[in-house]
Amino acid sequence: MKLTESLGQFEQLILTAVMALKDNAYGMQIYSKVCEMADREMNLGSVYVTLDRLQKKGYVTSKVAGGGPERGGKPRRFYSLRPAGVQALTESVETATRISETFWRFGKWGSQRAK
Amino acid sequence: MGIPTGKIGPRKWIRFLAERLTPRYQRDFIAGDLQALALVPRLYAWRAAKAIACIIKYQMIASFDVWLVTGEASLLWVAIAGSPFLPSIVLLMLVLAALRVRDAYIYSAGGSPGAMAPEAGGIAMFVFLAETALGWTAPSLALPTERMIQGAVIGAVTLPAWRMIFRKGEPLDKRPRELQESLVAAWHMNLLWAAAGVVLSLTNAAAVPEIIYGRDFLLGGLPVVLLCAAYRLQKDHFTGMHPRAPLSLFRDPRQDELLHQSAMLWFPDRRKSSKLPAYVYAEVLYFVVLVLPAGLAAWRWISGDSSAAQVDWRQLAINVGAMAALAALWICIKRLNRQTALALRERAERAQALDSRGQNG
Repeated sequence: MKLTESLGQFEQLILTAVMALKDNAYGMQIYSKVCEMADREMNLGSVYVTLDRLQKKGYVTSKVAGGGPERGGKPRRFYSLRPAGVQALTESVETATRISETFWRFGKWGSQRAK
Repeated sequence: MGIPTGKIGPRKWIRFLAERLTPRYQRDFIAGDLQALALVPRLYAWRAAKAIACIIKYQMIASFDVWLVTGEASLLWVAIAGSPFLPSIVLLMLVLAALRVRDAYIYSAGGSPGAMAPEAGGIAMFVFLAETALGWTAPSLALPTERMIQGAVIGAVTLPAWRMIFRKGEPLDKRPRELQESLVAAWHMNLLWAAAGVVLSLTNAAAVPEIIYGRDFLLGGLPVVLLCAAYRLQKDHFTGMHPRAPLSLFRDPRQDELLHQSAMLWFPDRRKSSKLPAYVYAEVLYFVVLVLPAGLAAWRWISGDSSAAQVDWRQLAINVGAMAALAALWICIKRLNRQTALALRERAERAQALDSRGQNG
């Protein structure tokens, strides 16, 4: 049974990127990872906006750290998953897995693939 | 897919412009990221424009508050009172749109008297520039000069003041928000319950006509007095109202506010030594007074008194049912008050503990 609010696809991408990047999860890295996973160019602004929304929902937490010379000394905001975020992501992945299983079992393309 | 990058970074002025145009709350992070991506100038400008537009849109939605906008529109309408309708509407739309964009840039900073001065100057300047531009391009949509000056002056005085007071603040975190919602719910329940009690005592008096002069006055007023007494007996202060501590540099006002909110609820300030403290007697007496007319009517009927014929039995039956519901609801309301008061106190104590350890920023 679902216990948390369901996540949108972009939110799932962001949370997955934050999880994958571990200690190196800050704006640009998350953006690059999301572009890589989605296989298309994304909007950097929407990454920040979604991270802000996820933080307000209590799924991620952030801390600010100094930036290097490649950023002109501009600070970086590092994000990390909170337990609620891990739970929400796990539930989303489980739902996606169930959808996928049903799709391949009963869907038109699934039956074609089975042949 | 990889991100196309180039060795040549954007020109300084493009970078400066992109940085200035980014809303404040994410400015440094986005500017740093765009710089670190080392994009070719055209791509940099395109990515920056898209990111800025996205953030402005998000901030505009986050900072939007219908009451704030309604107040702004009303004040501006008064400021340009007596002007032709269409030019007034055009100016209203332009100013409101400009203020939404400004909110996108400053949200979620709180309003301050210091921020009023630039805002007043900005509004006056915007009205002047917008009207001048309209005067050149579409004179039929521009306000007459004297009205424009009147609007700019009055608007520059009233709008920033309204915005300072009613600017939308950043939503609270989950736990404080839940606490505030619980507090508001508890107060709504308390007031509705008390109002229902008053209605009941008045309809009781109408259903069972008095045979002793002054009974209605007593039955109508006594429940209110008993409720006030029950509330007062739970509190340490004579008026029953928890006084707010004077503002001090050495004390966090939020702690005082939490304690004040907790003390205002229907819950004793201190644990009483007796198992049946005085306020419980007052509460019981309140219900006794409410049910008294029904008891009087029943006694008249049993004793064969002729006045029993004047009793509105249908109304009385409904009132007895309502009283039972009120009594059952009272248990839930008291529980809600207790839980909210304890949660508020706990939060105040935790804030105080953090404060004393020097961790409360």
